[in-house]
Amino acid sequence: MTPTRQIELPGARTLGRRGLLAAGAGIAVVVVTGCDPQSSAGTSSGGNPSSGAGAAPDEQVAVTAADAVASALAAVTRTIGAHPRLAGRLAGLQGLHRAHAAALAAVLPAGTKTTARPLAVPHGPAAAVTALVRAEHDLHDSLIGLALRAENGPFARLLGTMAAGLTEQLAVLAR
Amino acid sequence: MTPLQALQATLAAEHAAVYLTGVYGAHASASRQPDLYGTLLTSYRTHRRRRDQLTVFIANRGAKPVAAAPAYVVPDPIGTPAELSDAALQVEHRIAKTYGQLIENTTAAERRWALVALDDSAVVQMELRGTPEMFPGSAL
Repeated sequence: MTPTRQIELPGARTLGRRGLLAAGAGIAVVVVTGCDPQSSAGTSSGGNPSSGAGAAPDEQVAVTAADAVASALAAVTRTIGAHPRLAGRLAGLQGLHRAHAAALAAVLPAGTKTTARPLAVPHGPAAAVTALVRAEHDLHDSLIGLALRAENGPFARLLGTMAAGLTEQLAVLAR
Repeated sequence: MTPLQALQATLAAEHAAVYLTGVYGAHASASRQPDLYGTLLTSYRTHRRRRDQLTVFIANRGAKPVAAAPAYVVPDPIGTPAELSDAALQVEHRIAKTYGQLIENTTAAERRWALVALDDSAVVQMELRGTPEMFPGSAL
C-alpha cells in the first residue's frame, strides 16, 4: 500500500492539506498518491530535443524521416524561389524544417546522406501554397506513421513532437 | 517508466487540466472574450473526454485509475484575459510534455492516442500563445 503523499502533477501542483488551509479555502484535502511523472532514460535535457534520443534500432525509420523532411524543405525553398512574395508567409515553415532536419541529423550516424524528392511548383502563388500544404499534410502523416513504427521511445517522441510542430505551422498557414 | 505508469501520469495530468480549465473558463467572459472563452470551453471538454478515455485504458489493463486530487493550485492572479491565457497556456504546455512522455513509453494504440492528443494540444497552445513552436511536447 503506497502511503498518501503530495505529488507534483505535470498539469498543475496539487494543493496539499497545509497549503489549502493556509490559503483559507476551508475545505479538507486528501492528496491522492500517484506516480511521479518522469520520462524514461534517454530523454533530452539540453537545447536540442533530439539529444539523447538516438535512433537505434530505428536507423531506417530515421533515414526515411530525414528524407521526408529534406524533401519538404526543398519544396518550401523552391516555392519561395518561384514566388518570392511568399517568403514571409513560408519563413516559419522553412525554419521548422531546418530545425527538424538538424534534429534528425543529430540522431543519424555521421555521414548519412538524405535524399530530397523534387516537387513541381505550380505557377500561381495560391496554387503553389495549396500544393505545399498538401505535401505538408502528407509529411505530417508520415511522421505519425514513423513514430508508431519506432521502437526507441525517445526517438518516437521526437518524431511526435515534429509532427505536432508541423500541425502548428499548418494552422498558421490556414489563417 | 512502464506504459501503465505513463498512462497513470497522463491521467493525473488530465485530472488537473480538467480542474484548471474549468476554473479558467469560469473566469472568462463569453461576451467580452469570446475567442478565449471558446478555447477554454473546448479545452475543458477535450481534457474531460481524454480523462475518461485514459480511465478506460487503465481499467482495461486491470489497474485502478489514479483519482483526482480534490483541488489544485490555481495561479494568482488570473484576473485579466492575458493572465488567463497565460495560465491556460501553462496547462497545455505541461500536459503536452506528458503526452510526449506517453508517446515515449507506450506503443501501438496507446502511442497513437498520445500522438493525436499532442497534435491537438499543440494547436491549442498556438492559439493561446499566438506563435508556433518547433517541438511541442518535447522534454525540454
